[in-house]
Amino acid sequence: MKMRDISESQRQFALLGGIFAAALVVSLIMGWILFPSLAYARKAQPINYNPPLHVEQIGITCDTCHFFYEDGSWAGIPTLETCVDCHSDIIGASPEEEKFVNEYVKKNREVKWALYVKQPECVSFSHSSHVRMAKIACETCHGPQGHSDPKDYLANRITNYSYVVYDPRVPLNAFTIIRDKGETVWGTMRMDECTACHRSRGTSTACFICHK
Amino acid sequence: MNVDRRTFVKGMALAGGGALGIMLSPTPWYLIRDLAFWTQNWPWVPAPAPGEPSFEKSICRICDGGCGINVRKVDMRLVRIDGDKEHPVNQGSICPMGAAALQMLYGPSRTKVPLRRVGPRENPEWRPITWAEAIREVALKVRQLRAAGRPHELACITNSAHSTVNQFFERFLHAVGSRNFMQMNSALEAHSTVLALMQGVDEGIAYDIENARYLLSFGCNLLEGWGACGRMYHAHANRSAHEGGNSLEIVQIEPNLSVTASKASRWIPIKPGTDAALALSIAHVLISDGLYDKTFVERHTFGFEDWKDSDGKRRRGFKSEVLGRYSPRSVELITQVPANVIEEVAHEFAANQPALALGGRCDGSLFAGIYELMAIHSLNALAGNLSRPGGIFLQCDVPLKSLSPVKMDEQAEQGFAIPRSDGAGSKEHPLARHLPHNLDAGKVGVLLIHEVNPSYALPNRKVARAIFEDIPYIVSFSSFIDESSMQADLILPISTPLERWDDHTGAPGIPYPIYGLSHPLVNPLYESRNAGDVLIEIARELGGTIAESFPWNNTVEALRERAAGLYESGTGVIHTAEFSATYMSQTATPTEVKSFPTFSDFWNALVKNCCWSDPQCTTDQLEQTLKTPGKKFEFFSQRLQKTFGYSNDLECMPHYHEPPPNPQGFDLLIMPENLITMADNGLGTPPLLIKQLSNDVLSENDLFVQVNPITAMYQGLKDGESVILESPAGKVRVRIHTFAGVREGVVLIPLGFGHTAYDRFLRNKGVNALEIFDAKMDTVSGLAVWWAVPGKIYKV
Repeated sequence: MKMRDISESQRQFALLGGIFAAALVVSLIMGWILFPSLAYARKAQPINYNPPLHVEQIGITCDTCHFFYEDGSWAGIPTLETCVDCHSDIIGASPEEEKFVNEYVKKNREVKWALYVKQPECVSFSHSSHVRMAKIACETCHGPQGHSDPKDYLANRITNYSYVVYDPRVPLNAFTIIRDKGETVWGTMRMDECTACHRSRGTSTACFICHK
Repeated sequence: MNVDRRTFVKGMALAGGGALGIMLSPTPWYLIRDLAFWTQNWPWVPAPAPGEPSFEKSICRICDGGCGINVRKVDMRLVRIDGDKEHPVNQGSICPMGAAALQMLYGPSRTKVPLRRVGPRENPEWRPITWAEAIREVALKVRQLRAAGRPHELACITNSAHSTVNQFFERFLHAVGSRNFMQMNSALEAHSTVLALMQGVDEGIAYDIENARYLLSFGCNLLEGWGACGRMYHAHANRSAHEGGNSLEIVQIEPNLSVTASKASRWIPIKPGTDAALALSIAHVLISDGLYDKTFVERHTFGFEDWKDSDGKRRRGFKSEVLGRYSPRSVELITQVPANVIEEVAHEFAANQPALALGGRCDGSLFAGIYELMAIHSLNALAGNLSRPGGIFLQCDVPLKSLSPVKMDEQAEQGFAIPRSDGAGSKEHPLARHLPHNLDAGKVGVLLIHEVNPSYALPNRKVARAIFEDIPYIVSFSSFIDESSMQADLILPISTPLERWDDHTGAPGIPYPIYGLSHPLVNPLYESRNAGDVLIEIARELGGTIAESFPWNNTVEALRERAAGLYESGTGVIHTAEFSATYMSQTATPTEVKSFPTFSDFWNALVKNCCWSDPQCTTDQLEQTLKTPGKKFEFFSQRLQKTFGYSNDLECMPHYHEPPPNPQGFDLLIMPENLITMADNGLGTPPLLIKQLSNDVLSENDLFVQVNPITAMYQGLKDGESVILESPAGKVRVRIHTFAGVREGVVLIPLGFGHTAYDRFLRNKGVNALEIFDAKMDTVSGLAVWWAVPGKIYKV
């Protein structure tokens, strides 16, 4: 009787252990694979803008279109007005170019470019102090944007922040975003990334440096 | 379902495993991070849109001060207003109202399309109509007046600015056949009457405050809206930076501790309404101690010593009058200012030359009578401070080209021969130019209201009510839904000053000519138009000589035509400013008008820099400032005697007369208070400034009046209590705030509250103080006198 009781309790214990282990494995799979995959939506730019064509073949630099205004403030994503300087008519035979000129330039519609990188309003980020004063290259934060042609990007469904890779060998998915952010995957910098860089350069990390 | 122990334990194992697995995955940590990012980018949190930053200059038109402003733009959105450092009026300073003005431009109380009233005035409904319909309708009403032979029943009330658009209104009335063009009285208007009487000039008064060393301010709220705010701020901020190390001393003579009094070198609390006696007592000390400018008084004044008239009759002079009646000891009893203080101030006034005596309480527009201002001004004459640096000057004319003469047909000539309906210039009020508070509403058929709010702001409330009850057809040219628009028949949306072409001549109290030209910094946000353009169109619709009187296609053409006068005069400068690359600073060089090769170059520079001025052109010669028949300053105003035929000599000289006793039961004195953050002229106050009011000015919708704790004790009232404040003219419900800075027996009620129109930020907050001020008319100038009213206060 006593033996039976023990084996019964062992069986019960094994059953509970099994349930626990199964739940652990299932939730690990969900937590590591399912949820991260669900958190990002794959999207394409409204116009498949071709950076290498502009930078490598035509030879313009980043600051041709992403320039500083006279007062040192940053123009950011160019408006249609900047594009029209060259693209008032269709140049070349690319269907994307045709779409751009017909759908946007001729209709005077701004392209709603997906932003890869954008600090929120609570951060006072100055391009002037990073690019002009600290002489940090665009690529340091934005990756080799001008030398590769990303086809699509992943947008976080909650934050709307988007991520992109420039290296065709690197897959763009939730795992690379988590693992390779700032190395092969590029997107909005988090505070720990900002402070890491400030620390490594000996720049102050006081709150008011960024949060004015 | 029954949950037994085994099932529960199994459930716990499942949950535990699941929880541990999730916690060991990145999901919860990234979820927290993403939620934090999400909160930082909520789409409903307003964030400034990116765009190209730029700066443009303009002229602030919140009041008539004419301060220059720098407006920061991001693309086509205006985002900030700063004072223009290069502008001669304000030199970079700006008042809170001017700095917050963008909230009015983008605020919810804008008029957007022309609206026609349907239904009664008490309960109006508004139907949008097109501009063409609106213009036809106004033209039709004017045509009907003319057809009925009553063109003189067209009237207009507009703001007090000297602008081309106001000239357009006057011109339009003129061409139709009416004299009834009325401007709201400007703050320093009474001072012009004083100059007319004592100096025989028609120009406005100007004070060289920047070069003065001593300001004797009789209740002028120099830092709360007196004169051009920006200028006064700058003068106050730089009071110790005078040449030669002399700093500007301000002595504030005022019953209550206002902001100006608290910032002054000395505050002299005085019994309300006795300023004239104090001024004359200071004159007494100056004369009896021989501290006045004897050369000036001897050579350039009339009526100082006793004199003989043409009939050989002996007349009493200012000196005998003042020495006889205003000794410090007797005036101490009137003003409750100790005799030794009066003597001290008189000696300081004489020792710190150039010194100025300034009058006009609050924003300058309140005074107890013209004799009070004459008494104050006679101190300036005793000091010999006319046409001297740091003294009194006249506002100079700006050499603009005048518009071509108005063309009038027979009907217009007939209508124009009929006298004004406000009595200005009539036998009763011969010295007045505009008396909107005296308008006989029964004599007006069509009223055009332009950028003013008489329903709220006319000090005579009976007239304000009569206008909107009796006048059959009222058109409101307004940028905002104000009280007057709400009771009009037609609302025409006018572009705000930052959306339109406009100009502004002169600045209150500035001793040299200044011309401000403003251009649109943004396209009109709504279907609003420039009032000048609308008048041109109405004139064209009417045709005939009226259309011929408006030969321009739009207002800019007229502005350009007038500005040609500046160019041709070859005088003055434009401060051509170049912003440095960072926009943090600008460098300006005064470019002489002579150096522009063509008018077109001059015009472009004027448009860009918004301001022409001629600092060299001041009335620094006594013959320019003294234009009485004898070319003298008249302590005894012969013009006053001639105009009104006064037999009593005293009535032609500065004097103090005791006010009539308060009516039975009204043992307190209610006085208005100017707040620098509230527009008290009927215009709107931006929400930002309403939020600055402390809890003892406005709490929820309750307005607080200030009383001395002793007054409150005598009345049996506690701080914060709800009370009824009653005057012979009316009563309002307010709460009280006790403050020892208010004189005993005085109730101080702030102006600018109690709007029933505008937006939800301004509407129904407190009460309109004007409702209890029973404005009287000054017998000499005809201007409204409402500096105080007898009152009583009791628990609700």
